[in-house]
Amino acid sequence: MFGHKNIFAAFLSKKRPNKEIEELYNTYRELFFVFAKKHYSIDDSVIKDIYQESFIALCENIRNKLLTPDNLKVSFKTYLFSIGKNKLNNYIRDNHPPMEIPNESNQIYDEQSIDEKEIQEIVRKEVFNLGEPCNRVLMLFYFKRKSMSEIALTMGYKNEQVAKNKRLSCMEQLKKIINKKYKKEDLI
Amino acid sequence: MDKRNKLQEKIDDYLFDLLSEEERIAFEQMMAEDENLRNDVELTRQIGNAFQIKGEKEALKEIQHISSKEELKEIIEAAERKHNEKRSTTTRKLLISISAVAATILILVYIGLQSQYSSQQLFDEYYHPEEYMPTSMRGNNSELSQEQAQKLYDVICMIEKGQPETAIDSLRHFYMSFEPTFKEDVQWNLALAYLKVNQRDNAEKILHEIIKKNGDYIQDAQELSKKIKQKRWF
Repeated sequence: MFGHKNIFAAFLSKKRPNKEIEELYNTYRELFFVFAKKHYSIDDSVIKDIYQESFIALCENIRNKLLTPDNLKVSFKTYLFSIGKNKLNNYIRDNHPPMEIPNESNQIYDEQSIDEKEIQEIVRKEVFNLGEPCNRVLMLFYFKRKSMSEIALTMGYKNEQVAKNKRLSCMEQLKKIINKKYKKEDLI
Repeated sequence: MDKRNKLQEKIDDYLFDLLSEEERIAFEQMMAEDENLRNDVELTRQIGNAFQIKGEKEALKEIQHISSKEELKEIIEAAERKHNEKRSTTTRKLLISISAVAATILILVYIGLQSQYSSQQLFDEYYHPEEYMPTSMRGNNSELSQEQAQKLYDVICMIEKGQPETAIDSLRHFYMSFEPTFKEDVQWNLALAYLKVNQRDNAEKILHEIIKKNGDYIQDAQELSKKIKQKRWF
């Protein structure tokens, strides 16, 4: 699972090369389809092609060091969806002139303005330092986008409600730490 | 905790763009009026983004080590193949499940539509030759009547002796040739003979005629007719 030391070790041992890329591709593929189908009337095959092109384009930028994991200003997903949205809009313009292009303000989970960069750094630091099991629960929810029943199964919780309660207590704990630590700076 | 859970779910649904248009407008209205909620949504957004970046880190390292665009395409094609396999497995499982449910429903409907009583059960319940006395004999002692009553009794006994088909032929003949006062007795026993050979439709037709005549057998005929038609569940 992401965030677990053993995964990194498995990666280094090359037991299954490119597993993380494949997982990343699959995780965002599903979300991209949900987004595209909600906002555009486009065939699945076109959405798939656009997603693939966007994914490859972004990976090529990283591979060619135009973007590096350390200098990424926003998440890979934000870049990916931004490229994907542009390609979807271009496709609409070229193939369905009368169709309305979704307003850019109707964003899915996206990054914020430059003014909020400082807060982002503070939050990132706390998230990266978060211990288990909260790290795993919140990673499954916010990154892997697993349902509560799937999280309960993965974490070995009794049922979905236990997973929900755990997720809530982890979030509240994390928010409390962030608020307490930085309230005096009036950032949040 | 339930209330807090629901609020957190609403915030996540809003940020994941999972709310309907009406829900989204209502939620944004709430945010406009509630600064704490606005801050909570913003902080959740930041946390969600931070988890994404954290989760992406290992994959980004792998991407840096990809040797060519072709290798990247191969990874994507492999992911797509797995996705298609998963989807076809899911579809196959779904089809199997649907077929199983449909088959179960059909079996249940089939069982439910079966008659509650078998022909033999009904015959056994209503066939009582030892108690038999044609209704027309009651108070009628003419020679012809006695002769026809005896013939009728003999034929009825043939049903029990394992010759129901012969009994049916005789009873149909009797119906044409017997005195009108015997006709209802003949019909009742003909209906029973039809049941004995499992000709339920014919038995029902005869019972229907008896019911129309509104004679001495009407109650038994109505009851038997109802039981012939009665299904197990429906």
